[in-house]
Amino acid sequence: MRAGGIAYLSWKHLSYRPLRTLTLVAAIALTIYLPLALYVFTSESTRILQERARSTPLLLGPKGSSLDLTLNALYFTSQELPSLKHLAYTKLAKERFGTTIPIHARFHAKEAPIIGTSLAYFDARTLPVAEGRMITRLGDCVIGARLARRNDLHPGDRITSSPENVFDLAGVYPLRMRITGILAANHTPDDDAVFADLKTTWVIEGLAHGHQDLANPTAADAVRKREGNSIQANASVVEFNEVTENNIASFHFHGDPEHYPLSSVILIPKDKKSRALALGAYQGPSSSGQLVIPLDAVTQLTETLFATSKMTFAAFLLLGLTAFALAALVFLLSFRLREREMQTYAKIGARTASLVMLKSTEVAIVLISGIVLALLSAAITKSFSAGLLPQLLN
Amino acid sequence: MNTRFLLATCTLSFLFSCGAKRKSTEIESAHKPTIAVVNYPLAYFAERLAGEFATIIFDAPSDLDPAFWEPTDEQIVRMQQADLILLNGANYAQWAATASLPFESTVDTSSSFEKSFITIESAIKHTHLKEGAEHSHGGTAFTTWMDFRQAGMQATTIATAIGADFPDQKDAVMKNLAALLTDLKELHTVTAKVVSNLNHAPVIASHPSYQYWERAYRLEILSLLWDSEMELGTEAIADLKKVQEANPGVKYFIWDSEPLPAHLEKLKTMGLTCVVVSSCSNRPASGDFLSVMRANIEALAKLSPERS
Repeated sequence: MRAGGIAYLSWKHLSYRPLRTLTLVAAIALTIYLPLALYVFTSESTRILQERARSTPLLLGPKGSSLDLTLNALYFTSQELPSLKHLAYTKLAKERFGTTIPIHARFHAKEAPIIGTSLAYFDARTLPVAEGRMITRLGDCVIGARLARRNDLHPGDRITSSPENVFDLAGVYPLRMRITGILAANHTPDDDAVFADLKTTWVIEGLAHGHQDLANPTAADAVRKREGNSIQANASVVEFNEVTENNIASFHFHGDPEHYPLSSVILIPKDKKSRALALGAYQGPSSSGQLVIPLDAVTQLTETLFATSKMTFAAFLLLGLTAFALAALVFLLSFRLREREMQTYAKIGARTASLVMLKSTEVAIVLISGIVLALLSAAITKSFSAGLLPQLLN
Repeated sequence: MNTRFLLATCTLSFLFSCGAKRKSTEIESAHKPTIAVVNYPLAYFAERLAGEFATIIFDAPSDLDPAFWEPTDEQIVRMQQADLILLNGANYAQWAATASLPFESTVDTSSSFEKSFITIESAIKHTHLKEGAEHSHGGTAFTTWMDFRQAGMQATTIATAIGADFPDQKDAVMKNLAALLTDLKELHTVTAKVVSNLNHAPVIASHPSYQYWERAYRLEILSLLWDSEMELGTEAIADLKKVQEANPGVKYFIWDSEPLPAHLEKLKTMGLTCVVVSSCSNRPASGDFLSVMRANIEALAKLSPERS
């Protein structure tokens, strides 16, 4: 029997029972895919987590879980720790250890996180503006490439911050922000975020606001008390929910800016000495915050991830062995049922080796199809894992 | 044949070297440091200190008081890209409070003496003929450089910031600072002497922009809200008369810029001698900060009773 004939007969038999063949291929593919996908996802997640952590050498935040602090600053997860005072940022910046970047990641515009930061963030993350221009004033924002694509947003459009709690009527004031630019994609959570000046997030927080001129006679109804140069407004004063060229001068800050909140501060030390000095400065129990090494926090997380995945991997291995045993049983039973067919081949002149080859080819086709399908699925999983990770973390 | 080949080779080499030279000059100018400022005194200090190696960006139009200038988005973007942004502080250029400027490269030049800022109680809003926008001088007095000791402190802060950003230029900058401080010290000494000759008698000023000058040189200044090109109507004259009645013996009237000849005549009939003391907050049409300040001193010296 020629090789072409063996392949033809094998294909004919497999396609004669398509459901059985597809079930076998799917079972083998799944058996290989699941542990492979787990491995791909954990190793890809580790790579991505460590890569972003490496580009964030040090992180100053309030005392508490270093992992919560790191995930909030790097992946914009919800802020679990209390806020850091702005004073901590200015103090750190004055030390001149290196580049200091404030992060205020508390608010959202629909599902997208709003990050209050400084212009140094975009340099540190290599995030140029691909379309439009950089933020220039209060109320401006630039948005990530994926967010812009998903919501069909362009420079000149507006995006509104969401209230933290719909039942908290006196809470966060929705601010309509002007989109001045779309950032280039860097395949990180930055692609899904809204970036504004730190001061803009303080407007959202209610620490700064703009309202009608109370000295103007048209605002007489909004005046509660007038004493000399001091005018006290009542609750009916019209506050602006958007910063425009006409009302920007009316925006002002209340309270002591040193006490304004922040989530964390990224510190990129200029050299090894500055890094050591900075770490030393925040080690004492009297220090107001903690200076963490994001890579350490992320490594802890990935080690936990690997320990869990090892257990799951062992379970998948046992399941895989069972699945392969079942597949082997299916093939053996099938060959027993086809005993008379094999005898017929022998009677018309097929040698024993050809018959063994025929059975092996059928098994090989099913196995190879399963393996190819599993590898393809794993490759797709790898390409999706970069985007999947931030979603899972949030 | 050989001569032609030699000529062609020489021409090509020359053209290539010219091209390469131009390219390297372009790269050099592309990497020339930039320093953005918010008013002319700071621009002058920066030019004196770092003009040899840096480009100074001062975008305020020449017909506006830079204190009330609102830069466009494009101008702010240009500032964001500067290596250093020099703010005057003392609430000067209030747009900076709502603009997105890089924290690391922004320097508040008056932070070293912020505890001695002068607070102005009254905050009457007004407009000028050239500037459409309504503004007030309430809050913090901001013409800090009119006290030349403070100007020296601002120059020192600028030099320190430039030295920190461009360490290879630090020695040259510090040398330039020494020369600038000498000039400012001379201005301070001479101004103090000239003003003391006026016997610290009260003077009237057209505009409330002399608070630090008044404090530094022990003057008593009674400020109006006048503009050098405004029409001196009944209301304006009534305001002036009120000041004269409250302060009998006031002889001098200070203008921030050259007034209309009619104003000089009018005030002369009211017994007032006019003098221009420019705060030089915007780039002068001719000369520089130093020459304008020297002209101020010369004008004041002419008022001195000894000379008259």
